[in-house]
Amino acid sequence: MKNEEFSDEKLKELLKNSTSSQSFNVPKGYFEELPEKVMNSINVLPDFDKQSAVQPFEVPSNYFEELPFVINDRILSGRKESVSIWKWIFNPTKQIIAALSITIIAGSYFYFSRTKTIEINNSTCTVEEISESPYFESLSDDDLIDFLASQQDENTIDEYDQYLLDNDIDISQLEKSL
Amino acid sequence: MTEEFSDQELLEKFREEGSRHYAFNLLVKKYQQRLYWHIRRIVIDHDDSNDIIQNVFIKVWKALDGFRNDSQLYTWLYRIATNESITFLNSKKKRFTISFDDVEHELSDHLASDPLFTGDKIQLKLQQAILTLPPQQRLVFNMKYFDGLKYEQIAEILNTSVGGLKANYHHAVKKIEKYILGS
Repeated sequence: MKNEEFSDEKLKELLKNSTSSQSFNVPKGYFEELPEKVMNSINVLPDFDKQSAVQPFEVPSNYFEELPFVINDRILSGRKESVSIWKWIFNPTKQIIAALSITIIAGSYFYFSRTKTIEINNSTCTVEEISESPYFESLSDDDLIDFLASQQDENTIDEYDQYLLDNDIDISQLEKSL
Repeated sequence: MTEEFSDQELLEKFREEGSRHYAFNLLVKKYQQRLYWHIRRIVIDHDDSNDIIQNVFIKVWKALDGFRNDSQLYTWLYRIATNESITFLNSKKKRFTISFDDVEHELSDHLASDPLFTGDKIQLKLQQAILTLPPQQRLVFNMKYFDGLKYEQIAEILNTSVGGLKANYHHAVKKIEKYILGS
């Protein structure tokens, strides 16, 4: 006790000249705001001791009514994996395949539908122009055959034969008539 | 109407050739919502959840004949759904060569813009907090907090101890609280 009295006195002596009554401080308005902050924390945090009553996710309307039928269809059809068109579309491999397919199809379309031209006496005409020409209609098959024969090269032999087949022309009969 | 039949009755009807499809249809109707929401909370996206739950029930159809009542039917279904969901997330990670953390980050971003997510800001924060948990803690938390399963049921599903699960749940809660209060 004597020591305590001694240390109290000494302490008092040391603190005599100190002007501040409190060594620590708090930000301005802290205690005014503290109750609200505490209540906000309490309101924000769920009660993890109980099962959640909140369901923040939704499903499309009638989803659960239709799901059993979808599953039943898959079982009956024997399909193993669910097919989602969007998954197929956004699959990188499938995208590459689709792009190549479209390129090939588009390229083929433009190649085979291009305007074909034929050069006759240094002037170029399209096939459509010739076929629509009244002069063409007056030409006999013999005239056409003669013309095609004169244009014949390795690349047109097949076209020549195809013309004969398309128009049901018997080459042996033609040769007899010549 | 589907709740009139117990799991045992449904299994017996399933094993009879004439009532197999009928029994399975009842089974789907009985468990589809519980399994769907469990899957949805793991993978977040509805389209992914839809794919997975269909695959789950196809697997159930093929395997139900071999179910020998070693566990509850519900926990068996839950286990299949859990495994399918985790497999899906793993395959997503491999397909796009991203880490599991990035998968969760992507799910978190998706959550914010998903029109089928109707929760308020606090619910959004909660879901985002859950996505930061390690996979095991996340599963345990979802099953305990959202599905209301008992630790013994979760232990059966995840094939782990009750004590470990309690620790998992406790850590998960602390992390979630820290995430929500810190943001």
